[in-house]
Amino acid sequence: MKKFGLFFLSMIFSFGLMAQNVIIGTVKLKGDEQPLAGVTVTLGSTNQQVFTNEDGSFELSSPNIGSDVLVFSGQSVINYQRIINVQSAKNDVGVIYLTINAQSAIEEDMMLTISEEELDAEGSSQNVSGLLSSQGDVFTSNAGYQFSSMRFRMRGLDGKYNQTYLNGILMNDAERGWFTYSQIGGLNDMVRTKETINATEANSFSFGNVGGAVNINARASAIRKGFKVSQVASNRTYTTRTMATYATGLMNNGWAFAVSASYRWAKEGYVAGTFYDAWAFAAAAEKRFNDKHSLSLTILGAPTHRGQQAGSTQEAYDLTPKDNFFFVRIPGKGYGNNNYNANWGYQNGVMRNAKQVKSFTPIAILSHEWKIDEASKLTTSLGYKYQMDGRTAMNWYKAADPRPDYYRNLPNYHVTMGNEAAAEVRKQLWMNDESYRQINWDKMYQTNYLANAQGKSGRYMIENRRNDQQVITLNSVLNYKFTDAWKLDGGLEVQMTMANHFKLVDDLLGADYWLDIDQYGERDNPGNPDFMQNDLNNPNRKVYVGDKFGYNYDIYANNAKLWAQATYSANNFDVYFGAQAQYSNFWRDGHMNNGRSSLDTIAGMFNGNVIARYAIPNSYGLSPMQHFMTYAVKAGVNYRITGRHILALNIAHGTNPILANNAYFSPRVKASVIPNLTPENYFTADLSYFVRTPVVNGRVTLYWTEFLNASELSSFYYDEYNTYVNFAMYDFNKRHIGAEVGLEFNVGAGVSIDAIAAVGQNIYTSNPTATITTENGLPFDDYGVNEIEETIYVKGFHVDGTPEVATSIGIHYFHPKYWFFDVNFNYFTNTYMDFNPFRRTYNAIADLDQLPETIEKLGVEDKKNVNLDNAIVDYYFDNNISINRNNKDQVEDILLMDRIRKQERLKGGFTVDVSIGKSIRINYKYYLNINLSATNILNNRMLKTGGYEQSRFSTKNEYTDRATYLDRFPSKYFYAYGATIYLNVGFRF
Amino acid sequence: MKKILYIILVLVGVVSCQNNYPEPAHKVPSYALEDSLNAGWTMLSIEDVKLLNPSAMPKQIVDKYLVKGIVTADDESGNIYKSIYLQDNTAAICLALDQVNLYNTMPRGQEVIIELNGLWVGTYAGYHQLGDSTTHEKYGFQMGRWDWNKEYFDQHFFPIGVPDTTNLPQPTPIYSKDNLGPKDYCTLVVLKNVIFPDADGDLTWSESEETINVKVQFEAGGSDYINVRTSGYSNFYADKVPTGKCDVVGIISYYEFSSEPYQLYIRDREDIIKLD
Repeated sequence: MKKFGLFFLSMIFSFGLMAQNVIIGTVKLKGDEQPLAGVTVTLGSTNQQVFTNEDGSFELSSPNIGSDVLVFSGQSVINYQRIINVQSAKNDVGVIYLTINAQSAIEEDMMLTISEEELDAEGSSQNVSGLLSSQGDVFTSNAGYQFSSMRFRMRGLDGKYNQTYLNGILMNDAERGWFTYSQIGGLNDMVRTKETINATEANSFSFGNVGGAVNINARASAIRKGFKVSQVASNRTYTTRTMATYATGLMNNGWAFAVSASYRWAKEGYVAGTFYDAWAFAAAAEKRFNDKHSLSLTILGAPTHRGQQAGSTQEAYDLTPKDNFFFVRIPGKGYGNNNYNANWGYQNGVMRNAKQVKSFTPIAILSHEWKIDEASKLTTSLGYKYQMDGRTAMNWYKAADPRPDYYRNLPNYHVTMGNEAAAEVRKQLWMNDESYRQINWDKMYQTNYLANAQGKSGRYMIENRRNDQQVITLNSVLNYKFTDAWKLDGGLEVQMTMANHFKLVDDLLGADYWLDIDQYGERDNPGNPDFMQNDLNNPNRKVYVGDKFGYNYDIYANNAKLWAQATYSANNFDVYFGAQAQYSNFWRDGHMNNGRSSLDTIAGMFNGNVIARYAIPNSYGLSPMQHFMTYAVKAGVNYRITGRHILALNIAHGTNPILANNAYFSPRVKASVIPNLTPENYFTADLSYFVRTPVVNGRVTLYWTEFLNASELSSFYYDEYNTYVNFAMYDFNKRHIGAEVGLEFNVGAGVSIDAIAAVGQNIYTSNPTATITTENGLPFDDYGVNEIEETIYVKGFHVDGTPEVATSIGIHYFHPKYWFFDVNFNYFTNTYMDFNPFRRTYNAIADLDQLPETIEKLGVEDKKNVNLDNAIVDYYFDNNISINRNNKDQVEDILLMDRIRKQERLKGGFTVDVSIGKSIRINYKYYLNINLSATNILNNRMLKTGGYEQSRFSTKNEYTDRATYLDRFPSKYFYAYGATIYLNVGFRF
Repeated sequence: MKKILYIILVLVGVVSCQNNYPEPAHKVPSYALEDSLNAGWTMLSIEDVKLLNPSAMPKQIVDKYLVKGIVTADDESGNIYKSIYLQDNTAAICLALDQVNLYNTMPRGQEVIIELNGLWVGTYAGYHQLGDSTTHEKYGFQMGRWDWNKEYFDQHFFPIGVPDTTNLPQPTPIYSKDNLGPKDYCTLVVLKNVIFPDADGDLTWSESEETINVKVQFEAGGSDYINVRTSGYSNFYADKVPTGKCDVVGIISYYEFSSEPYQLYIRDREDIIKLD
């Protein structure tokens, strides 16, 4: 660290000052004369970016003389380029008039709602293409919207690698790493102004992360002045939305105020049973004390109540009757409905969804800005977030599984049992009786009434699993311009999070009470009544609506970051280098003494090295702290071949601490952590070529990111051992490589064409080790212990849930009479399924055909780096094992090997989007915007956005062989919506 | 800070919003017996049902027959699987149903009327079952379980009223093996003053996921015994078998292919009554 500082200082003094030419101007709205604040102005030759001030003015400086280009973007304006001729000293380009692109408002809105739906998919991490759209970059500004319906993730990276800041406060969740967009849903007008950083580019508001960063400016002065009201009609997740925003802009007395509120609602959305009921509000106030100091306070929140959708097997989809949704549900002809939702049923004629989201996260941010001089400032922000996030689910005790798509309710199970008659009965029931394929609420109530009559505990109930958090963040960022050439950015960020995890009784469904014990524990250890207790301090407790039960623990997570970045600008290149040091820790505080936690000692570790051990009753009370000290360095250069052609190279390397969510593999029951808590390592580099001419504008990028010693956690119910099993995978490597292309062609006469493509490959480059443990502490039959270690042979497998190929071509026409027409042709493919780790152990295929019992006998020495499928081929070849096509058993076994191991690739497809809009100016003061957008007009309903393999699989079950498991528990899929429309009418004055 | 937040919560009421889904009324199950009898249905006793088919070759009931009984044993403890035992004052029969957690619909003490039209009756391993017919790979055409969803379960099985365990028949006292006969198959009995000869203080009723027989005798030292058969899926399988004298309540069953065909299924741990 010291060496770096000295080097840095010496660099400053060895380079002299460079002469700079100033370029100023003002940006106003066409026809309106209203100044536009927050518009991004980019100087082509240096790639320097500034935002326009409240009065629309901007100032840039350039070391170059001669022809150059100014690019205007952001704030929903149509991108505009102005060729300028830079002369010495001062250049005033005058007033630049820009037009608003109403289409982008809709796109942003749709991206936010799509992000919400993503969390419905089991165990998925959020896709972040949405908010990262930078209006100035052809690729990201289009990819964000065009690819969002397919859950595209930029470079295949997990959401935890993208940072989202609001007024300088980091909004990412400290436990899971990603940002939940629904926390700012319905507040589009407040979050319009943002600064976006691609990948590890030079960043003035934070050190950044591998996947990029965005800083949303929701200060009162950043909201466009005026009154705006809009109404939306749609057939997507909500059917109606009303939004109103009023902002004063910066007034003469130094104050600025802004308020915004919206209401989004649907009785039912595109997917059956998904109701929507969400409010949003925001209020911001800002005071400019003088030229130097300003203080702003922004408060916002978006209380949301909605019904979720579920993924199902293809069989369930194929047997469900078709329907179409255009504000009301219209039955279709025939069968095959890829948007069937198992989460709902009728109760007394009212549609009721068992899996609802009830969440509200009010956020308050106080931000102070000190303008040290024209080009330097110190921004200090203090943020407080109180997250209340609840997700409901059915819970049942010693009763029949109430889920309509429970495997025994579908014909397939009975086919595997050889019972054709039973299969046929269920097929007819599913196809013709809606109450059979949806939840039967009445039956649950009647069963509970029967239990009441016998004085027994309820059999069915609805629980609300809460993830609450209180987060305090303090962030201070200095942007300091030393000289014309040298700039320093740096900051100190401290964040403290207290997360409460518990579940509440939401609805007893007619029962008198619910007994707080673990039904699996009761079954697994009948001689030991302690084993089934969730809280030994309150055994066999009766709980009622509103009571906490099941589990109750807190996670405390804290971190502090110190970073600095120096940028040097010269005639035809910029170079930057930055570094960050981070300290983080977390620990658990259990409030229930769980009967299933063992009495192991828990280690407290520093960067994965044990520093202390505690023998405490490990589920009750404080657990040892885990600490991490991590660092990161980055550097890059921007080289201008000419003002129109630029090359950029960015490289970064660092370590990331393990997140609390990945470290505790069974936090509801105990405080044990995964054995390997050494931080993950990454290397990343990208090379881009930018082109900026009046005819073509855009970039081509090649990227390569390598993760070493990564970790991932997955948990699911496991057949053989009648319990939840946790797979903590660690010590593996991943590689994300590919190319991004974003080009915009100005054909002339108001027509522009953009072409974007993301082609990549995100693969596991080594085999993870997995620690497999049973949540109920019972030992595995064959091993005699409850914790085993297995290697998962997935080298070469792909990261799931995002299309590796995503392309789009758009044709845009702007008619001088303020008509907008857009057509987009999109093509996606190569999304991979989330795989079941147990099917990729060697054990899963051992003894099939000629395969030996263990992998060592296969001749494999390096388990971490072997590609198992290749090793098998080698084994057959080396041992002269022939495959006889006439040997049915052998052929079956070999096909089974492939079926067990292969990771399914989802073919994508083709969609077309169309939109038309009109802007009408009334009396020179009022603006009416009407925009009608239709996505997927070809109604392609065959697009799988992702899915997961079911976890039930076993090699040791005496009644069921491996093939039958695969037949009986096929994969579950999620599909994209068919044709949807979005009509937005906005009125502004 | 928290107070302000609670105010906001009240105003907004989202997170703590209570569901306003109107609760369905409690439907006490009933059956219009009068109407059926008037429409030509005939009520049989369980003994009559058994007499419809004394053999192991399943016979389908095609006439409009009804039968009524009370549930003496259900599957709540896990010892009984996919069966319900129905008894009236003439005899008892086993309902073979392909469903688990049946006690949520027909628990002990529940009175049930069954429309027999379409169901199959016959013996299985010696005792009578009411269910379906099936063709087994190895054993051929024999009695099997009635598919829960086949033509809807509730078109045949009608629980009536609220379950009342005080209405249960008294378990028939059995003092010696000679007292047992076909009239007792599937009935609720109590074996009086019995001992478990193999009990040593460590013996448990069963092992996890196995089904095990434990000998029970009416007098010590004799050669006569019957088996208490317990499933390793029951919630009491790990209890210790008492070493002293007991009264044991349970359902008598018969398995003709075994060297000792008489079997007793305990319903739950309260069925073991220690006498000393």
